[in-house]
Amino acid sequence: MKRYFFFFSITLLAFAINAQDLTPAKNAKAVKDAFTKMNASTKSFSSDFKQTKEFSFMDRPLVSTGKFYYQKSDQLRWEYISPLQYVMLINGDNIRIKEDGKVKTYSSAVNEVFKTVKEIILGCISGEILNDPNYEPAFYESDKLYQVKLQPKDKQLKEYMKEINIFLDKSSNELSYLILKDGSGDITKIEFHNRKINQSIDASTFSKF
Amino acid sequence: MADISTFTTKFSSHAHSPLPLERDGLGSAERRGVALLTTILLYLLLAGNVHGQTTQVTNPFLNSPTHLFTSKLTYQDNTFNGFLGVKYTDENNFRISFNSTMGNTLMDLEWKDGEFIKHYLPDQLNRKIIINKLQGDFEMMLLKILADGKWKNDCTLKVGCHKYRFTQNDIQLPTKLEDRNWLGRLKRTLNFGYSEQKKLSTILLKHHSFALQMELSSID
Repeated sequence: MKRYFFFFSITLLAFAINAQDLTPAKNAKAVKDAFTKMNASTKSFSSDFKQTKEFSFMDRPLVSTGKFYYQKSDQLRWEYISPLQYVMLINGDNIRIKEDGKVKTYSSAVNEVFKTVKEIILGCISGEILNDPNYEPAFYESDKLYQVKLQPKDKQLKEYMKEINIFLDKSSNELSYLILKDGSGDITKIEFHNRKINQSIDASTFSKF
Repeated sequence: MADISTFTTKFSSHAHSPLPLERDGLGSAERRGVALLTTILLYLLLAGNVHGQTTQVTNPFLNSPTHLFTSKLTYQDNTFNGFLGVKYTDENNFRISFNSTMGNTLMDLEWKDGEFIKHYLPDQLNRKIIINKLQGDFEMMLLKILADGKWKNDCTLKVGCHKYRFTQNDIQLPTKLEDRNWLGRLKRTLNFGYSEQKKLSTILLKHHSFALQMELSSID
């Protein structure tokens, strides 16, 4: 009986610790300042990434991997390597996508959809999205992480993206991972591994496929 | 029934006759009777054949409750890549989620006990003409037609005004389906490919009346 009680207590404790993992930040300004600091100190960011898509009705996730490169303030290479090969290049207003061997070019200056895509992606990496009045922010923290939850105010955008969650490593003040809740309520987690901050990235990375 | 037995007797007696029926002096009523009997016998023979040969299609989706595919949708010169997640219980019950490369759900649809449920479909896609086309394509692709149709013979399934002709491999896994309308015109073809372990590896659905096709490759 004592043994059962012990296991029950341990389980309860584990739940309690887990529940306390991320709680609303007591000092929202401190969280916001951490993101501002990250934005100010990050000139470039490159990493491997692992994208895990959870389906609401399947116990099996969909995992994609690839490479991620960012150069302040508006250059990005988002390259999926497995299981699909797909590259998105953002260079100023110019957005180019290569899939299935074909290249498509878009301009975020004239295309509203790609303007929003660019703002979300670059804004999450730089932290600038926190200053965007189109999102309602909420701040959370744990011992190791800061979290900002952003909910779009625009009804049309909400249909495609319900929540953007940005997680920042407290100790390094680096972007750790993103959790996106899409219009259906499904969750996609993008984790950044082998992060390299402020290291030189060849300019061709953002212009050549 | 008495008429049939009469015709049978007459047909039997003349079947062994060295002389043609006309020369035997059969009247037109009797000739009509022989024709009717022949038709009935032929029908019974064919019907017997259909019931005798039980159509067996091994459903390739049933080897696993869930399937993940990369998907490539091609319409004219436009290509759209993404992923398709499928949870499959049986021909009447399955759910699909169609996703972009970046993981966004574009549609989440379910077929449940005869009901078609739209769990998630953005307004831009929620149009009757698009829905009907998608519903029809997924019902063919995920073999819901096996639950809906009636076998006309051992390889042709009839669903409404569609006739689906199955081609199978040596272990009765479907390799090709042809969808023809009531005029016999080819509307769609569906090809299944299998791995060496006999697992579903590729699916190709192609429309013949317009330039739309969907290619799926298993991620297993």
